[in-house]
Amino acid sequence: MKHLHKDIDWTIFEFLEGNLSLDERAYVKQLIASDSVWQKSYSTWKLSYLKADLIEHPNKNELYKHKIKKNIGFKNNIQWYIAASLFMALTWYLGNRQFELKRIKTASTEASSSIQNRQPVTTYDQESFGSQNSPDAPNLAAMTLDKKRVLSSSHYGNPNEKAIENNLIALNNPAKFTVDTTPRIRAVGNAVIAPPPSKEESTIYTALTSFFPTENKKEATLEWTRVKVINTANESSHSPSPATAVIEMYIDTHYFQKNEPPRWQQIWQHTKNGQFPAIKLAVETNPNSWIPNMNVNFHYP
Amino acid sequence: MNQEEYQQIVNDHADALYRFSLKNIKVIEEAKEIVQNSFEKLWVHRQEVHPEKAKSYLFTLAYRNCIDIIRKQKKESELDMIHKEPQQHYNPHLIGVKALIDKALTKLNEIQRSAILLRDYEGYSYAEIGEILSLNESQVKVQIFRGRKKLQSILGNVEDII
Repeated sequence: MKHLHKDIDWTIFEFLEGNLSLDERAYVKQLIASDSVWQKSYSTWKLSYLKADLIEHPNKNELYKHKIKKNIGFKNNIQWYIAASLFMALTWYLGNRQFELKRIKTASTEASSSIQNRQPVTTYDQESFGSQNSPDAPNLAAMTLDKKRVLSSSHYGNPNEKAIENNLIALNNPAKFTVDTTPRIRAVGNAVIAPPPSKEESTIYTALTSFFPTENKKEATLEWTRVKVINTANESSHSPSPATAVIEMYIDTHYFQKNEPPRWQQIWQHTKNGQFPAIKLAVETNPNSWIPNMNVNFHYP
Repeated sequence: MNQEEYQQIVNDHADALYRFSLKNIKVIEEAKEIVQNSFEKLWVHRQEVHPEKAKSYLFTLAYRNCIDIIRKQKKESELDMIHKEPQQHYNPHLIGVKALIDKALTKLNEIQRSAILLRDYEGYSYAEIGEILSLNESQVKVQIFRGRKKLQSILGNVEDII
């Protein structure tokens, strides 16, 4: 009974607070039940104990911490400009790529149809050379025949027709070719021939080696790097088209080396001495073949 | 304390903290602000406060906040209460029992009121109340006794009327 106080208020307070032992509680209960003063005091003390009061926070949701949403936008205008520029560049690239693919496809179609139609474009440089009255006329005729024999054999009934078509496309689109950078140094006769020196020539060189899948390829590739074609159709004097260059080279090597060895040797001697010939080319329509007749002349500045 | 634990603490104690604040200062907006501030501080110091201690931490903050507010208004509000309703007997038929108890609570000082609120509503022990109110157990017990004695006298008179 150590917690029991002489003061009735303290005793009832301890009783209501639950600070008494079981024996003490039983004793106080007995007092409350048997004594009206204790009973009244107990009743009034009971009023001081607060009963459950359901009060809810009206804005509890504001207290929760939600996950921080990352700002996926851009912080300033510069970032927007950069993003917009990248988008435009990408769009332009993809669009251009589609255009190029379409162009190649169109070129392929045209090449196929051109093989069937056999209607080459005529270009003619009458002033420079190729006249039928030229002293080279017999040679030119032989050259034409020789060229026709080789090229036409590659075309009519040739199983590699598809490859030739592809090569034609490639020749018209030199930029699409992978440059063959493998060094090629070959001894032909007394000469040592260097590989193509420039990117443009490399591109043409690659096209050339694909275009002539015969044993003549080596010869055909040799002279070209030393030949400068001028006055060709639709081309500036310093930028011959790959097709023109190939034809020129072919004519050069095959015609002169086989049919006019002394003259070929003369030209070759000039070349070895660093004097590169300028070739003037005249092309005229051949009604019997898709390959035009070509007249060639050399000039040494 | 991670975010999930914090959310759980809000869920468990926001209402009690709001009730404690509201019973102490009687102004809804200020009670909401006290709760908001307390949880904000808890969030800021979440790395330092263990979840098991969060409730005590929140009530300590709320109590201190209440004290600050009460002290700001103490003079005029207490004077108003004393002069306007010095010996008022409440008519339970007019104001209701809950409102009567709330009114009676305003007659206690902030320590007695807070101690009784924490004891009756939150079920805290004397030691826990002492931690919040910065008192020892004996002091808490005495404060609760005196507070209840005062409530008893106020509410006892009302019961006589009834």
